[in-house]
This record gives sequence, structure tokens and C-alpha cells, in this order.
Amino acid sequence: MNHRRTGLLLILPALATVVLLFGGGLGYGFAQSLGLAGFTDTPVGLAAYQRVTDGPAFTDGLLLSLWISTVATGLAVAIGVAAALALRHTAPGQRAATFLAQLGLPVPHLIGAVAIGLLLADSGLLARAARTVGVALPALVADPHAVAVIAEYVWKEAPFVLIVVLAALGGPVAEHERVAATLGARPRQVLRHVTLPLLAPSILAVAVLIFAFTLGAYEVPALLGSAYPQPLPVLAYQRFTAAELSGRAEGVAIALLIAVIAVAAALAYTGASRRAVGRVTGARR
Amino acid sequence: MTADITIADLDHTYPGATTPTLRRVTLEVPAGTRTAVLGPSGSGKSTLLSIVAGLSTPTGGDVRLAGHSVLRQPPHRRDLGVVFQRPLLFPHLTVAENVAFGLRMRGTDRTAIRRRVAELLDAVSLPGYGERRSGELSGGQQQRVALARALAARPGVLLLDEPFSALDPQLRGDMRALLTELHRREGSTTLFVTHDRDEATDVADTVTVLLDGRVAQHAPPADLFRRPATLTVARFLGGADNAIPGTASAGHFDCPLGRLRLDTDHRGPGLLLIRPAAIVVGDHPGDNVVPATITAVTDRGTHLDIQATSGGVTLQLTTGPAAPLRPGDDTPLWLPPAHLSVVTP
Repeated sequence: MNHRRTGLLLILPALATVVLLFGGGLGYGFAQSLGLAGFTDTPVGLAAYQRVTDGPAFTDGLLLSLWISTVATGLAVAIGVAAALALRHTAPGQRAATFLAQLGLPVPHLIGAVAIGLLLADSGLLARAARTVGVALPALVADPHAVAVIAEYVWKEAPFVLIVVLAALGGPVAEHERVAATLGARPRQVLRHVTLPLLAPSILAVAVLIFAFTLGAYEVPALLGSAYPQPLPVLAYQRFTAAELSGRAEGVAIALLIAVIAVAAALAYTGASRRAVGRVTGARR
Repeated sequence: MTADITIADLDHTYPGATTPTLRRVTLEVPAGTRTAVLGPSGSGKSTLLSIVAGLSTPTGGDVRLAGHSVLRQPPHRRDLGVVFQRPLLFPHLTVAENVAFGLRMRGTDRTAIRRRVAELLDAVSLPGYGERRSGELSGGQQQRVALARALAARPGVLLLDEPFSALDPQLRGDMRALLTELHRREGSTTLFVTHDRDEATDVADTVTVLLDGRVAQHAPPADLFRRPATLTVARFLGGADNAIPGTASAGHFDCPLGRLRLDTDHRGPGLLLIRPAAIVVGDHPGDNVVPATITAVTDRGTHLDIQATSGGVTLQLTTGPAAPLRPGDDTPLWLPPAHLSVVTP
């Protein structure tokens, strides 16, 4: 009992900081969205939530957000994992890839978005190059499928996956693969029955990070996305900075809904990864 | 199907290394037998095993399994089972799934797999452990599962790389007995790498001593101790305490102890070797009895370490703990001819 109280006292400063900064801001935002705080004409209650979810803009935005996050995460993971598996056995290749990946990681998404824009826009490098050989490219920037947005995310996140998976491959994975080979497993079987199951926890962890980040990020779809539909973060920012008094409550409401979706995704991930980790570490399911 | 292993003139030098790890290693393991490769760390024995397993490619020579060269074949085509120093059970699979792995990869049908897994878990005294995860087992249990896993697909060849050295001594003895028993049941040709001479002599019917990447001796365990081929082998096996210089001729060895009768192919100057435990205190009818004076007795509890001099030569011997010997006693010593060997100095 005494120990527990001492422990509680010891973590109190850290806890207070987290609660104040994170919980405080979130709580105040939640209060604003309910019309309980801030300079607003929104009536007390769920009016702001009703207004923002009413009409096709929210549904279309949600679907677009989920589309961008799912496709970007899937492509980044597939490319990153494939590259890691291809590069793992060549020391120079691995060094070069890690160097290039690290080169890209500190570049902000905003700069990445501008670069992708210059490359993929209607008047961009790619379109001009294609035009000289007589090919007309479809719209890649501000298009309904958010190709440029997804391209930017994949360009930025695939190296991140590569680095995480290369690190995971440095563990006992190679030894288990050797054992599998001596037991008669062909290379394809080794990959399917040993390598990928052993990498699953790392891959899932990095996937949920990318999914949650891309779901909530604003600057890339703001720069490269179309005018309609707009993904939820852009919608939230526009409502939040709108001229009307009710905009603030609505913007915060959308932001909180994004948070709820991200948390739901994270929970689903935790369930899935606990099963995967349990299988790998031997903990009971 | 059990297969014989032929290792012919195997050379291996690691990239960037100046000295070779293996030099012209030649070794024949007849089908169904057990051979231990015994050597200190750095002698190249693990490299030898990984070449046979297909995990490394040698710089020269050949490896044949059942008469066919396998150097160009990847490990999964070589029909073998390997047990490493660490169990390396697949952590994402249960014990039963681990044992079943090789059979599953070969597409064996489920009923046959289940029967074989149960049979092997019985054989390694882990019945009913099938549904557990490797993390729930002790080190010894994990290594037993690894053994069962390696044998599941009835490989022609079983390779073991210091499989018991991570276990505690008590457990090691049990594992050796288990391995001998499994070999009797399964019959896979066994090549066993170890630095522990007791392990080698317990488990194998033939021992190959590998020193500095060369085969120094290849003999049944008893011969190895009785007749070490060189002084280095004798030293490595702990049998060079008594090394007496002299001259060998047909059936005889002349040295300060006198003319001893023995059987040797050695001719000319050489060193006579006899292990301390092989010297018999007391008279004996026949040859090779020398008069000696006890100079020191150390009681080790389980045995006595005794020093004696004879003809100006100091001899080390051991006796049972109850031998009534004191420093200064004069006693005859018998040097049994079967335990005498002569090596090049």
C-alpha cells in the first residue's frame, strides 16, 4: 500500500503534465464542440456534430480519408518490406538504402508535397516529359483518387518501413530461416512460414503508425488534394478557420471524430498485434 | 533412408582470412553410424558441419551424401536434419507444429503428421506437450523438441552442432543417453560436433579429432585415449602428463625406465605416452614392471594423485582414494603394454 502511494507520488509530475497538456486541450476542444465553451453561437448539445455529419461532404471526406490512409499504408508497407527483403543480403545495398532512406526522413511532408506537386501536376515535369513523346497523362494532382497525396505519403513512409523491417531482420530471424531450410523448406516456404510471421509484429506496428498519421495529417491533402471531396483534416481546418462563429465548434467536432476513428484503428491493431506478438513471443492467446 | 557421408579433401578459407579454416579434411561416415568431430574452439569443426548442411560453400573439395555430390544443392534438398547449439524453436508455432514443420513443408498428409509427431514427442519424453509454446519449456525440453523436429522427416543424415553445451552438466548426461536411444530407433547417420571429449566418446562410435583445420586422428573412442596419433592429440585429450623420451624398435621401447615391451609402428627416437590412470601400482607377472619410489601423494577425495620416480624419470599416476601409499614408499609399477603408445616428439 505504502509502495503504491510512493509510486503514485513519483509519477504525479509526469502525469500532471500529460493530463494538462493533452487532456486539457482535448477537454477544452470537446467542450467547445458541445457549445459549452469558447466564443460561439452553437447551442449546447450535439448540434455541431449533427451539422458537420449532415450532408455528403462529411461522408465523402471520410471515405476519401480512409481510402488515402489504407492505400498509402498498404503501398508503403508492401514496398518497404519488399525492399528490405531484397536488400538484406547485400551489405553495400543495405548501407546505400539506409543512407537514402535517412536522407528522406527529415524532409518535412510540406516540402515533399511541393516536390511531388512539381513532378506530377498538369504542368509538372512528368506531364511535360510525357507530352514531348505524345502521351497525355490523366490528372494526378487534385484528382478524385488523390494519387499525388498517396504518392507523397508512400515516398515518405516506405523508407521508414524499410528501416524498421531491416532492424527487425537483424534479430534471430536469419537463424530461424536457416533452421527452416535444413528442415526442407523451399525459399518461398521459408518466407511464408517463417520470415513473414516473425516480422508480423514490427510490420503491424509500423503500419498502424502510418495509418494513424496519414488519417490526421493536413498539409499534404491541402496542397495536393482536390477541391471536392476533401479529406477530414482539410475539412476540419476549413471549418475551424471559417468566418462564421459556429465554425470553431464544427472544426473541433470533425477533429475529434478523426481522433475517434484513429483510436478505433489503433485498438483494432492492438488486438491483431497482440495475437501476432503472442504467437511470436510464446505468450498465451 | 539412412545415407553415408563422404567428405573428401575439403578446404575452406573465409573471405579475407589469411589462414585456411579447413585443410584437406577427409572423413567417411558409413550409413547408420555415429561420428563425433572433436576439436577445440576455432578448430573449424562448426564450419565443417555448416558446409555439410549446405549453409556455407567450401573453397575446395567435395561432400557426398549417399554417394552423390551435394555441394551444388541448397540445404532444403539435402535430406538432412540439423540441431544447433541453441534450440531455435519457431516462436510463432506450438511444440507440435515445430516438430511437424519439415513434414508439412513436404506436404505429408495430416494424419501421418499427427502420428509421427506423437511418436517423436513420446520418444523425447515430452508426451502431451504438443500444444505448448516454446517459451513455456525449459532449455533441456526445448533442445529435445529441436531433436524431435530434426528427426521428424526421417532424414538420411542428422547433424548436431554442440547441441548440449548450453545445458547444465546433469542434463547433458541425460541428453547423450537420449541421443543414443534415438539413434538406435531412427538410424539416421549422425555427425556430431563437440569440444567436450566425454560427450564425443559417450555418443559416437568413431571420433575424429580436428586440430587447426586438419584431421589429426580418426579412431574409435578407446583407441583415441590408448593410442593418440600425435603429441598434440594426446595433449588435447589430456593424456600427455607422462611423456618419456626414448627409442622405439619393433616391439620395444628403450628409455630410462628400461626396455619396455609394446606394440608400435614407430621407429627411432620418440616419446612414450601413458595416461596416469593406466599405471597399475603393485607387482604383475610378465614384462613392463618397473621399481619406483613414491615422492608425493595428494588426496583429491575421489582419487589420489601420485608422483613417483623410476630410473630418474618422474611419473604421474592416479589410484583409488583408499590406496595405502605414503611418500618414500618403494613399490613396483606395471605399465600395461596395451596402454603404451609412442609419438613423434
